[in-house]
Amino acid sequence: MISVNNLTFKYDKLLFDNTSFTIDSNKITFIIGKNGSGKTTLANILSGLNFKYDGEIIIDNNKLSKKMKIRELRKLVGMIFQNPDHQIVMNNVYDELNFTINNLTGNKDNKDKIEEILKTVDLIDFINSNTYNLSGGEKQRLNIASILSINPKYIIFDEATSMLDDTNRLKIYNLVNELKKKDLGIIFITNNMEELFYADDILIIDNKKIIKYSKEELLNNLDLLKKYGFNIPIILLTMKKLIDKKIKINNYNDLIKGIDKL
Amino acid sequence: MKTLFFLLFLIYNFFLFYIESYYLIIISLILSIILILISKRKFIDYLKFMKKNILFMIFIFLCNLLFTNYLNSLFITTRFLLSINATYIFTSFLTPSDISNSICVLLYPLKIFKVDINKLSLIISIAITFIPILINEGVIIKKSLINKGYKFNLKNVLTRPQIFITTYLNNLFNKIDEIEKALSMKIFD
Repeated sequence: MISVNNLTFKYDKLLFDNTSFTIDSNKITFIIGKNGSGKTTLANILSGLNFKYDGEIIIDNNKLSKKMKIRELRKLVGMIFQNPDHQIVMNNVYDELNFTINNLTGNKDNKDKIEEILKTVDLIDFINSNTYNLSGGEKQRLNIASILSINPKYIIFDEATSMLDDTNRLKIYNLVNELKKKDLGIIFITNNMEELFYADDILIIDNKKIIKYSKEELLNNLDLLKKYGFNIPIILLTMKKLIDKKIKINNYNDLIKGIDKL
Repeated sequence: MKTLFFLLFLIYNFFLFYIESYYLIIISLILSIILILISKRKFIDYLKFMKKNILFMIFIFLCNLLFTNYLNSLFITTRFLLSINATYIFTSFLTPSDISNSICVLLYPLKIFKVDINKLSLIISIAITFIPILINEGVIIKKSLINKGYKFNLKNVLTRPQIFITTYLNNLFNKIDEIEKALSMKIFD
């Protein structure tokens, strides 16, 4: 579990004011907030890229601190950036993963592990490809593979699907659902309210505070979203109507099938 | 083997500018074209690549024409053409990671002076990877300025450099920040 206690962060303006919350492992937690509310700053803080804050962050009994070794830090939390191009540092898919694994283990050749991870993200056919020639979705899956090679306990997706088309976005959601089953904590930062369909918990950044709701709480009171200045996404409205009719919704396919019954 | 190929490329480029024989230059030109034909790339790609360099070649020819006769100018321009051809062939056979590994091997003697060769090689590899991204960034800024009615010519870039250069540098620094974050995600301290 990630426990954030009394977080205060100031940068030009006060972004977070003495706020506390928790994020559970093996759940998909979404963080939403208006533009400039500090979503990316929060992602940087949680992933140990920014320590200029007051308060404490404890990830599975490990307190985040500047003194922490990068290897220990990355075994706890990794992050996928919004723009996939910004995260790839090598010219070749194999080299990209080998670079990360080499930094982690010191082993020079990690072919077996690389092949295994590329199979997980469905990129095995691209093992010798030039990273520059990959599509946006493929690049983002390569970035996920790179983070998975470290085997962290939490992965933060900082608007990681915002530059992808629907097909690639769906591939990422399916992959994330599979990762959740492997006991990984997933944190999604988004501006797209439709994505809340995939959430277990939702953190709302509002007025320098971070408030946590479970999806059930939010579905039972969708007007809460309005209260925080968001539009209610059609997908959640539909989901609520189906649940009210006692139709179980576990995934996107259930939702599509359920709409026929409305 | 790849390091040897890289070393040969460096030696070839060095000695190219010491060749005085017309015959040798012509033989080199024919050889380079044969190598391009047997390389993995299509010949049409080579022609497209040369189209981008043609202005540079004309510039070299005209500059030399100011100081020497046309035959000598042609000779010097052909040397540049051979160097460009060699680079084209070289990049067909070697990937940026091969280049960085080769540089790492060639710089090995610097270890005596306690230079971190692996780090140096990694920096070169990252720099090579980011070249197309930086070029792309320049194209995006150029298009966005044209959309705002900015006439993109040499005069405007030189007289009002802040418009293009400042935007480009801002993006460049953001990119450097992102690279730092990306390396942190890959456990590179």
